[in-house]
Amino acid sequence: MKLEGKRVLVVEDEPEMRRFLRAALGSHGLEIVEAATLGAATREVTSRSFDLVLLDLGLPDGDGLALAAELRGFTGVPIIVLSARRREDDKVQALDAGADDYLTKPFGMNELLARMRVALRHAERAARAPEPAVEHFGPLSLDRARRRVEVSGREIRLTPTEYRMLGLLADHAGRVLTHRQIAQGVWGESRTVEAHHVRVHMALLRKKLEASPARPRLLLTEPGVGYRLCEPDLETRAELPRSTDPHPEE
Amino acid sequence: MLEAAPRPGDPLHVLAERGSVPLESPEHAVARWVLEHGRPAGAGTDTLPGARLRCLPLGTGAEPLAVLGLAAPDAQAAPAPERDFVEAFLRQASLALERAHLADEAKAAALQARTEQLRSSLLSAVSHDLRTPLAVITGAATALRDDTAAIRPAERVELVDTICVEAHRLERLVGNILDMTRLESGTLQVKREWVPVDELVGAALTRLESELESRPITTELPDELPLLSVDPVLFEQLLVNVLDNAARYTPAASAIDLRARTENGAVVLEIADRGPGLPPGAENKIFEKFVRGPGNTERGAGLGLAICRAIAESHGGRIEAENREGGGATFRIRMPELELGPSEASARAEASRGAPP
Repeated sequence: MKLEGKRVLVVEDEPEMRRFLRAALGSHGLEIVEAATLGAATREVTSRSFDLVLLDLGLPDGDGLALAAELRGFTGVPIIVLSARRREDDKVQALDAGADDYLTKPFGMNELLARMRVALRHAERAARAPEPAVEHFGPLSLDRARRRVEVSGREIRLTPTEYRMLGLLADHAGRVLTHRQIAQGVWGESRTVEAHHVRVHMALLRKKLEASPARPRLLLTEPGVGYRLCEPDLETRAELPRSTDPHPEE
Repeated sequence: MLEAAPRPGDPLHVLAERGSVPLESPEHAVARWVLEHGRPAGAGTDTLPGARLRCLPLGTGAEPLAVLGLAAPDAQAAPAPERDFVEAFLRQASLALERAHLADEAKAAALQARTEQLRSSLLSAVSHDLRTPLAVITGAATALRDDTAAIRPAERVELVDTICVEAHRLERLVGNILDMTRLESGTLQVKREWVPVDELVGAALTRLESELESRPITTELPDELPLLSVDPVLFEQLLVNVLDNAARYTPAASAIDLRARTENGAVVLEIADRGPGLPPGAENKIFEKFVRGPGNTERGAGLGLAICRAIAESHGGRIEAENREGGGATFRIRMPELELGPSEASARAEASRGAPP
C-alpha cells in the first residue's frame, strides 16, 4: 500500500506532536492537514475528503471520540486514534465507537506507518469488489468459497463457531477487534455472549492454527482489548535497535 | 468513669465505666471542661459544683490525657487513707497514660520517618533514573543538530540508536512509576475476568518478542488447566515484568522455561531461567521497592518485581523466588483456583465439545 499522495488529517492539540508528525509523515510524501481542536477538525472533515484521520482523544474543546462517532455517520474514512491514555477501557471505547486502530503514545514511526498502511488497505478493499478466492496470512490460508482452512498446506477442521471467528478476524485482518465486536460478529446481536466465551473459543482456535499456541504468530491478544489477526505489515514490530550494553551477570 | 482523648478528632472517648453513674450530659460537660482546662471540676470544687462527679485531670503535662470521675457521697469528707489512696492512684494512672501516649507518638514518628525515607528514596531513584536517559537523549539530539560537526554515517546511526534506546528506557520507567503509584494508592481496580492461562502467557511473550528473541523458550501448559479469574491487563503485566527481569539478568542466549500446573487448589505458574541465580538471602528482598540486582548496569528504578508482588497480592495470590536446581532462578506465581460459575463452565464444555452454540 503506497502512502504517497494520501491526504491525512492530523487532529492533535500538542504543537510539538503535530510538528513531529508533519515532518515524519511529510517525508513519506503524505499531504498533511492539521487541526488543533475538535471544532477545527469538524470544519475540515465537512469541507473536504481525507484518506485517513489520525485522532488524538484529549482535545481542549472535547473528546476526540465525538469526532469518530460523527465521522462514522457519513464516511468510512479510516480513523487511527493516537492517545496518551494507557487505560484499556479507553481503547475499547475508541474501537467500539468506530475507530479502526489505536496507538498509545509514545509510539515508533514504523509502527504508525504500518498501522496506516493496514487501515488504508482496508478502506480500499471495502470500497472494491469481493475478496479474492483464497486469502493468505503467513502460513494460514482461508478459502471462503470452499470453506477450507489450511496451515502450511495441511487442512484444519474448524467448528462452525471457530470458522466464523476466523472469518471475522480475516475480514478485519491487522486490526484489533474488541471482545464485544467479536461476540456480535460471531454469535449475532441477539445473544448475550460474555468475554470469556470469546476467550475460550479463541484458545481452541489457536490450538488448531498456531504452531505454538503459547507463542502465537497469527492470532494476537491485545490484553484487556481484544484480538488481532496478524498481517505481514505488522509483523515487523521490533524497530528498536538492540541495546548495545553488554549484559551484566547477576 | 474514665475518659480520655487519645486520638485527634475524637476528643472525648469512654474507655471504662464503673458503678451506676449515668454518663449523660452534665457529667460529660464537666469532664470536657476538665480536659480543656486541665483543672479539677465538679462536685466538691469551685467549678460546676452541682455535678454529681468530681472530675480530676490525668497526665503529667500541661494538657490532660484523660479525666477521672470520682463518684463519692462527699469527697471532702472522706477519711485521710482513702484520700491518699486516690491521690496515689491518680499519679500512677497519669504516669501510665503518659507512657502509653509517648509510645504511640514514637510509633507514629517511626512510621512517618519510614514514609519520608520511602519518598526520598523514590525521589532520588526516580530523579537519577529519569535524568540519565534524558541527558543522553538531549546530548545525542543536540550532537545531531550541530552543523559545525562532521558526523560520519556510522556515528549518526549510533546517535540515533542511542536516542531510541534511551527513550524506550524512559518510557518503561515512567510506566513502572505510574503502575506502582496506582497499585499503592489503592485507586487501582482489579477487573477480574475468566481467562485461559495460555492467552495470558501468549500475550506476555508476544509483548516481549524483541527482548526474548535470542532465547530458547519452552512452555508447558497442560490442556486441563482451569480458567484463571484475574484482571487480564494486570496479570499480563505481572508476567511481562518477571520475563523481562529474567531477560535482563541472564545471559542473552540462555533458556527460559515456563510451565503451569494445579496444586492444592491453586494454579501455579513457574518461570525458570538459567542465569546466575539469586544471592543468598535475596529471595524476598528482590520483591521490595528500589531493590536492584547486584551488578545491574541496566538502569531501572527497581520497581518491576515490586509491581509483580503488588499485582499478585491484589488478586489474593502470591509470588516467590528461589534458586533453581542445576543453576538459575525460579519465580513461582501461585493463584487461588476459584470455582467456575455455571456460565464459565458451560463455555468450556461447549468449546471442548466443539459443537456450534
